[in-house]
Formats: sequence, C-alpha cells, structure tokens
Amino acid sequence: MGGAATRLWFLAAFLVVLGLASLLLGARAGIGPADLAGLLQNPASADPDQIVLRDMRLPRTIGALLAGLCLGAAGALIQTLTRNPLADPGLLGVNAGAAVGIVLAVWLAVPLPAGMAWLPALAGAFAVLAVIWLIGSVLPSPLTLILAGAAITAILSAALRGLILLDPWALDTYRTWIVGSFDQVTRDTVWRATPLALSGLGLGLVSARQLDIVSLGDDTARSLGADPTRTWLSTLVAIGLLTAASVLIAGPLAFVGLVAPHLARTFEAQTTRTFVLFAGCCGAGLVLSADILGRILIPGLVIEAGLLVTLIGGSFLIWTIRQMAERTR
Amino acid sequence: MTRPNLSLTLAGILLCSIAVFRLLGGDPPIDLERLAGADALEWTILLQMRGPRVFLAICVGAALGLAGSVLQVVLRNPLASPDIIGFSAGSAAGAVAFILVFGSVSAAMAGAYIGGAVTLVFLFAFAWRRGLSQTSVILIGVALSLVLTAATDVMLSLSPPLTAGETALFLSGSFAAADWNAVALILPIGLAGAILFLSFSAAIGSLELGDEVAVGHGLDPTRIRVWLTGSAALLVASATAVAGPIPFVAFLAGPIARLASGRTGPVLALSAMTGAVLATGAEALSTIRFLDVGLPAGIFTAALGGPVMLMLVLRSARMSK
Repeated sequence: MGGAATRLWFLAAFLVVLGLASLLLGARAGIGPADLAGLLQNPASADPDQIVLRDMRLPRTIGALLAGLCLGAAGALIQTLTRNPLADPGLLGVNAGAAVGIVLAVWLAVPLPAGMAWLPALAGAFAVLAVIWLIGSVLPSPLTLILAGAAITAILSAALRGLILLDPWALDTYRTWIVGSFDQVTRDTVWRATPLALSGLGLGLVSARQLDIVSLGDDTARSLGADPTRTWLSTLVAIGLLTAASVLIAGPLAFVGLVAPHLARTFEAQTTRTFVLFAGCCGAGLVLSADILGRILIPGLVIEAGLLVTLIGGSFLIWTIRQMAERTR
Repeated sequence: MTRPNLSLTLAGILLCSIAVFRLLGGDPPIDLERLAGADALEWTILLQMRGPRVFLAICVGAALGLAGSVLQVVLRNPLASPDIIGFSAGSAAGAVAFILVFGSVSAAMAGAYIGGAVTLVFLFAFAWRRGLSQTSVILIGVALSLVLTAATDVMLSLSPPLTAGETALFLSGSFAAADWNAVALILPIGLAGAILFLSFSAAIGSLELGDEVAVGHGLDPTRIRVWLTGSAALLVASATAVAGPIPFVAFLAGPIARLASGRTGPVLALSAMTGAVLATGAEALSTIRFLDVGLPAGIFTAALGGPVMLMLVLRSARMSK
C-alpha cells in the first residue's frame, strides 16, 4: 500500500462517490445526473427536482459529512489523549454536556445574539471535558472509564430531563436537538457549524503533532518546545469545538467517535495527525452511509441516521468489550 | 437490640413518618378531625390521589431495593445493579417503543415487560462464557444500557409532540400517574419476588463466599445466578411498567442497608425497606414545587445516585491501581 497521502486520497475519492450517491438517492424518485448537471449550469433553477437537490439533499449531504468528520476526528483525539480505545465523546457524556448547555440556555432565556446558539453547547462540552480530564488520570483501565462515563451521563441526563420538564420550550428545543437526523439540516445550519468545525479540526491537527512529541516523554518534549499541559489543554479545546459543531448539525450522535478511529486504525497511520485525518474521513463515511441507508432501506420510511449509527456502534462496543474482557482474563 | 434489628426499626419509623407526612401534610393539609366526619372530599384526596402514589412508591422502592441488593451479592459487585446493567434502560426502551408504535401511554406496561425480557436474553447471550462471567455481565450490561438509552432518545425525538411530553415524564421516573391498578400489578409480583429471594437466601449466602463454597454445598452457581438475575429483571420490569425507570434506587438500597446493618450479604428486609424509603422520599420531594413546577421523583434519586456511582467507580479504580 502506498503512503499516507495515497490512502487519504483514496478515502476522499470514496467520500465523493458516497456524496454523489447521497444526492441521487432518496424518497423522491426521478432525480438523476441530468438534474445535477442542470443545477451546475444554472444554480438558481426553478425545476422542482433541482430545488429538492439544491435546498434539501445538498445541505443534508454536506451536514452528514461535516458532522461525521468532526465526530471521527474528536474520537481519535480523545482516544489518543486518554490512551483509551473505548473513549468516545458520546459515551463519556460530552454530547450530553453540550445538550445540557443548550437546554439550560433556553430555560434561563440567556439573551444570545442570533447565530450564536453554539456558545452554550460549547460551554457544556468544555465543562464535561474538564471533569473527564480530572478523573481520567486516576483511572487505570480503559474499561473503568466507560463506567465513569456512564455515571456522568446519568447525572447529566437527569439534569436534562429535569430542565425539559420545567420548560416546554426547552423540551421542544431538546427534541429537535437529540434527533440525530439530517432531515432538518439547512444551509444556515451548515454555514453556522462550519467555522466551529474548521477551527476545531485545525487546532486538533496542530495538537496532534504536539501530542506525538509529548508522548516521547516530558523532558524530550520540553526540549523540542512542546509543553505537555498546554498540549492537553489545546487538544481538549479542539475536542470541545469538534463535538459542539457536530451537535449543532445533528444533535448528539453517539458511537461515531468510538467506531471511526477503529476503522481508521486499519489504515495504519504513522502519526497522530494522519490518524486524526483518517478517523475524520471514516466518521464522515460512516455517518453519510447511515443516512443513505436509512433513506433506502425500507421504501417509504426514513430511518434516522442516529438510530442506525447507534445500532452499529452499540454492537461494535459490545463486541470490543467482549474481546477486551477475554484478554484480561 | 442488635444492630440489624435497630436499623430495620429505624428505617421502618422513617418510612412511616414520610408516608404520614405525605398523606396528611402537603397542600391542602388534611385535618384528622374532619376525617371522622367522613367528609367526602378529604377521603377522596386520601384514597384516590395521595394513597395510591405513596403506596406505589413503597412497593416500587421495595421491589427495586430487593432486586438490586440480590444482584449485587450474586454477581459480587456493587455496580451489578439492574439500573446500571441495562434492565431499567431495556424496560424503558420497550415501553417507549410501544408508546411510539401504539400511540398511547397505556401500551407502556406490556412494552416494559417485553423490553426487560429482551434485554435479559441479550445480556445472557453476550456475557456467557462457560457460565455467567461477572465482570462481563457488568461491562456488557453498561454497554447495553448505553445503547438502549441512545435508542430511547431517538424514539423520543420521533414521537409526536402530544405524546412526547408524557413520554419524557415517564422516562424521568414518576409516580404522578399512580392509581390502585398499578399497585395491584406490582404488589403480587413484588411479594412473589420477596418469597423467592427468601427461599434462596441460604444459596445466596454461600454464593457470596465464592463459587467453590457454593459447589461444596451441592449447588449449581450458574443456575442460581440465572434464576436470580431473571427474577430481578422481572421485578425491575414491573417497577418500570408502573412508574418509569426510577434511577439508582436499586443501586443505592443494598449498599446503604449493608452499611447500616454492619452485615454483608443480601440483607433482604432492610434493602427492601431502604428502597422504599428512597422512593417515598423522592416522591415526597416531587410534590414540592420548584419554580412552579413539580419535578418527577426520578430526578431526585438520580441526583443522589449519579455522584455515588462516580465515587464508587473512582474508588474501586484507585484500589485496583
């Protein structure tokens, strides 16, 4: 197999094919390559098929790709940071933290400027990441982090359920947030999430390089100009940004951050940076495949991408735990 | 008086005072003198509104306390409680799926039993390796619980706005919809569970000392585990069917009872009593209105149990380090 760049191009080509499939498949039959070509020539077309393509399928496809990219990259970063192959922003409660932030802001009626809805999500994600960082250092085995994550999620979901019962508006917001679906994704959502996602990815790639240096040992790292504490902090900020971006687009999608890095390991990345990129591509492919599959699996019925991802990821988690328990025996 | 008996008596007194406070206090308070006059309104409040709620909380709490305490002993781990290893989540997911499919909250009961049974089968299937391995049961149970909770959230988002509110209330664990029918459902199952656990108490005791001891007593550890885990799942499914998933009562009752009595083992009576105290306490708190809204009971038990679970995980992690 060729170098990392070749494999990355291969993955990107696969994502383009998947994206085209996502544009052409769906409940509305009769949308073909001709419509796509027509739309390219005349972006403001009034043809019904082309409107569906432009205003629904395109944002949906880009949203799924972007959310999957963020989750996969965040999963790779958090797994590298905690040295735990079972770490996942969803399983550790980071998604739940972002959701609590959003609902809390609705309940307290925090006056947020338009287009700043991501701010409370980000704050909630950061709060949970800080807690995980604090307890992560005392946990000896990957399996106990799952238990700690379950406890954190239990506390947060109790808070969430309390808040959504206190305020019908909060319930309504929550319901649309937790959907794990790309039905509602509009161009606005994608535009709003893109800066968050890109800054998270950029910071994540920079931190990934630092993480490699830090893993050589504290003294070596310092002499090469990398500060361990600062590296951890910037990695956590990157994870928070990426998670918040994905929550903004699709609501909390669990398990993508767990499965994507495992898929990415089959590409045998040499550095953390390429590993994060591979995981991001795998995440994007995974989420978009789930979305397409949900549209075509049962004709006339759309299955939410979130449900399919949960089923796939959940089976994967149970299988991994079985393997790990077998080995530690 | 011995310490176990003393703590049992104290728990009984606590339970009675919470129940009396809930029945007679609150808004409007009930005047005992007017009850003698057989005033219709006072009796209606007592028998149709507060009575079923308090009695249901006692039954559900006791059933959860029993199930949790027995499972923790049988699987030899305080984390092996039915609300952590997926039984509550499974019953809740089943209930929500039935609400979604049949469009009415009354379908939740059947769904809770089916969801619990399916979860039990999956747990056994995944965690089975020449017998029921305790560590795999807990980890796979936690994983199942996560999957089921995620699936439940997706289903909640799919339900139409009208039932979504009711479903959300059910999911947070609440006694608000209690009536005597619910009590009639859980009481016989709870009693049957208690009798079953009592008749197994010698076997549970020898299992706690280790599988070798149990085999030495002529028992089959795997078979006992399967039977007792199944019974615990049935108790939890019944509790979830009538009150939704009340989190952490099953998890907390056993350890508190063992701490109070200074004894190891299932301490059945005290665990049931502790569970009942926790559930009625949460039910009483749920009638106090914060910011003009009464929060469901499950929120209070989660607020207590979540941090305790986190502490327990961290402590056991530090000990094994």
